[in-house]
Amino acid sequence: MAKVLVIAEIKQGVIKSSTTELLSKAKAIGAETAVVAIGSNIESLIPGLVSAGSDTQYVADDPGLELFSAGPYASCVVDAAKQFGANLIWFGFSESGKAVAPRVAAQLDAACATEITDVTLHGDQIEVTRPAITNKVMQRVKVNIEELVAVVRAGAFEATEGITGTENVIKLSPPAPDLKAVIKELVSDASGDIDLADADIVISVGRGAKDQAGIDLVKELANDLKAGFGSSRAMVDGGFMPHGKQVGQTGKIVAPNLYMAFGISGAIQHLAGMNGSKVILAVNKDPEAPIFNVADYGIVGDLFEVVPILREEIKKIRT
Amino acid sequence: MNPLLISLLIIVALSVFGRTMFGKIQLLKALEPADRVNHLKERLMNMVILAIGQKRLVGRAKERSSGIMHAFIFWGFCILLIRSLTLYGEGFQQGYHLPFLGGDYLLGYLYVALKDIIEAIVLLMIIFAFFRRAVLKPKRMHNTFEAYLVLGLIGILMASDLLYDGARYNLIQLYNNPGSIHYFNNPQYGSEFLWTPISVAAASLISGLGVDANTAFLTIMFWLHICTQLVFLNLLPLGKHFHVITALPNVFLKSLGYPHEKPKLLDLEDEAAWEDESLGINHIHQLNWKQGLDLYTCTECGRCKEVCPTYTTDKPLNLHEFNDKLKQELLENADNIIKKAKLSSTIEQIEDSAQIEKLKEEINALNSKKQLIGEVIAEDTLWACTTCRACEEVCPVAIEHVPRITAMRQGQFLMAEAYPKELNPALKGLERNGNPWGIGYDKRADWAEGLDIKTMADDQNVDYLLWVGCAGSFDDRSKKVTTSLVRILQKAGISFAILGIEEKCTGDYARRVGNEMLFQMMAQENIETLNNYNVKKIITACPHCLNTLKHEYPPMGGDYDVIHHAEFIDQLVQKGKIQLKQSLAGALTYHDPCYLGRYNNIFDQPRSILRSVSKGVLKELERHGRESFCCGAGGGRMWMDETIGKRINLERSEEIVRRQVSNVAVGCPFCMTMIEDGMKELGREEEIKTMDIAELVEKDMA
Repeated sequence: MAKVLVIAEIKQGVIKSSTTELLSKAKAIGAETAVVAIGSNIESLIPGLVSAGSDTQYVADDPGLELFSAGPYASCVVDAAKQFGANLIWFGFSESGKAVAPRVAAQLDAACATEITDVTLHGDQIEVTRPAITNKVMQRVKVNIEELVAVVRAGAFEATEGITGTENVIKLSPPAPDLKAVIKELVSDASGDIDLADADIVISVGRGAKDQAGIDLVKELANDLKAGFGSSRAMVDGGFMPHGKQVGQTGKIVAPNLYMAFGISGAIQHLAGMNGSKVILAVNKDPEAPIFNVADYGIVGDLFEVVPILREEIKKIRT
Repeated sequence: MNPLLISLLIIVALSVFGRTMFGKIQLLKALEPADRVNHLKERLMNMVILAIGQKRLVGRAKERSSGIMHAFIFWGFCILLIRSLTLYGEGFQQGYHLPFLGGDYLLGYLYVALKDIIEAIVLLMIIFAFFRRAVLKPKRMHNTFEAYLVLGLIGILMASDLLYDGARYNLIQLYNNPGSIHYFNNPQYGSEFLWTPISVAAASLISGLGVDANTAFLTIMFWLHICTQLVFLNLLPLGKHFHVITALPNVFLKSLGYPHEKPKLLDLEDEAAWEDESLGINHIHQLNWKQGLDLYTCTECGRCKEVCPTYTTDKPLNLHEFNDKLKQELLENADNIIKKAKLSSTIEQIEDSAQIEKLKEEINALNSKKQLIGEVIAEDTLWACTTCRACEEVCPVAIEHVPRITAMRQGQFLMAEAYPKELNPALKGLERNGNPWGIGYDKRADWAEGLDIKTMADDQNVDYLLWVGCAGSFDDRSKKVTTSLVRILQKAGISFAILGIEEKCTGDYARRVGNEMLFQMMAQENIETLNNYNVKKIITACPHCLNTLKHEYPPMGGDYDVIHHAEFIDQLVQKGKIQLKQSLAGALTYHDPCYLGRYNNIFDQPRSILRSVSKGVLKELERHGRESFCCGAGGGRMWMDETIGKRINLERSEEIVRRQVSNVAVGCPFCMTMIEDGMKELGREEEIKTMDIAELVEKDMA
């Protein structure tokens, strides 16, 4: 029977939904499941790990693991994988996952695949599906050894309703400190906003917002939806938005499930930063604006009129 | 006067000078090779026009007063050199004169008259120069003690000669004591006095001092003149006034055929070059000798920074400082570089491999350890350049700044792997989809749907290939320009086709940011496609494509006749194949794209077209033609954020707004983006339309 070890994604003390999604998939292919959780003071998360669908929980709980560091994290995963005898090791799609996965694969002498969207098992034969040639094609890859470390593309697997696991906690001994790199501090985006790259929904504002009042208006909608808030280059150039919030060719390149563009005409420099989004909604006064060429939904109108209505309607749906 | 003393002075001065110059030349010889000794006639012409004619000094309206000043000092100095030689002769033999310049010849009289008046002019110019430096203080200037010293020395040279003549005249005339003192007096041309009013005036200044004082004056002024000149000669190579000696050769050796040295086609399969990290320029010893001569010649006049789009918008690129820092680094490493060159030449004669290895190690040890970028020049400084060439166009001594910057970027990109990370998406886009936005290559010809355009794959028996370029293929704004151009070509009955999805970025921007590997990849692929279809003539609306296809593909095996759409449309209009109505309303101006104007000398054709679409006068911008101001997108800057100082496109857009026009015509898709964005930011996009030449023509077609 296949044994799947899922690396729990924990951010600010919360287990992210990807962990459940990955465990659900593992159960769906009939595998035995385990989860590995790494951090400091994470005992309280164990029930959550169980309910996420794991049958064994490897916990590396040590003050030295508070801040992410690829080397020690990889040792923990390797330790858990060996104890569990895992043949499939899955990471959620995150920067940390991408950093740890190849290290684990190298240490275990396993295959490594990134951005997979599906896994199938034919006996011992593992087959994965992943995009290639900038998402132009999907390739199915047969893995010709028995262990695979994979980074799963965000949202590729769905969580099964009512999934449960069993509690079987195994403590891992803390890894030896990493001599190559010592993490001294974690500097996060001072704005405290939702990270654009992580956000499920990204709302961006462009020249159509005119000034700070316009930006604030759209920002409220972003807050309602807990969306990442970005902007086109024009607003950064105009000094209204910080450079870190620029979506586009020379700024952040995002691909959320929903991208909402307010008052953005859709110059090619901007499109290059967001046209990988799953669903695009555009609001612009100019029906000729190129943004409508890439938008799935478009509203021709002034954002100052549209945003309040949208907020109102969203509120209604929610209550 | 005193043959012994004068011999001694000359020997000492010339041996010191010779030693200094030997060192300087030896250093240049030790640098990397550059091929500059060909087409002598053309080179002489350049020297006559630029150096002797002082074209860039007197030819620029903005700088005319100081240009005239410099030109007179230069010409006066040259004229005085003949006189100085005569004085050296005088030191050996009384009444010495150069052949045909004595009192028996009209030429001799003409020369003294010319010398007389030019000395006065130079003195006036020196006074103006002092005044300008000390009081007017033009912004571009960088005042140094050296500058004042040199002005002072030139003043002394002039004044001492005038006073020498004055004292001589006094001794002859007033005291009726010609004695052994020689002067011109010819029945046909009269006395020397009649020809030299300024010297006569100088004579009257000191005529009251008496015979003894005048005799002493004569001697003092003579030796003062000689000594000043010899000191001056020895001072020159030590500072920025080295240009007095190197400017002429530097202009003589400037690049021909293309405005500056083309980027070197690096051999990327040369394993030794990767091993030695010798691709591009990361260390001072990697300069070629002409680049070294450029550094010797930089006079720190600051004209380059005054026209630089980055310096004038508060970015850290200050070209004369850039040159100065490199020069210091070069001089600091001079001994090692010379030693290295000597060892390298001995290595060729050795066959013993162990000994070769040992020598190689020694040579490596002599390499400059300092990274030019980071340790000599700041990173932001290097990446600020838009490669617009405004600096080179105004440099009076024809220094080639941009190729050096490109080579340094190559060094950064290929060897140090240090370059602005925001370039990555655009580079990746080029690699994967052949366009910097990374849009699927299969969509490249989508714009052409419904326009009835053939591709080369359909029919390669056409007269022209229309090279669309990435912007023209993918950018919605530029697609409109492409469509207009297509309609014009169709209307004129031109037989043409496009490559469709087989076209890829020419690689221009990859090369400008130093990614030579990617450039060569793109170029090879495109050349293969073009040669497969036996393409001979290419029309393009993008000056960057034009420049690359025309000048950078030939060394890689792609030889085509490449025409910018402005040239082509102009021909169509001239030949009457396109009838225009001059119906464009409102005032019109034109923004010169750098890669069209300064790089490819296309200034008149776009203007001629604009005069055909509008009855109004074409209002020129403050900065236009050769001195046009960059939009800010060149040199890969399109794909980097501009976070330091004022944005260049805004500066340019404001200049356009000040001109009070309703249309600004462009001839480049990147200028279009930059200027239209600027107009939007200034809230003027409704009043001032940014239009490509092709769009204006299409609208005006009968």
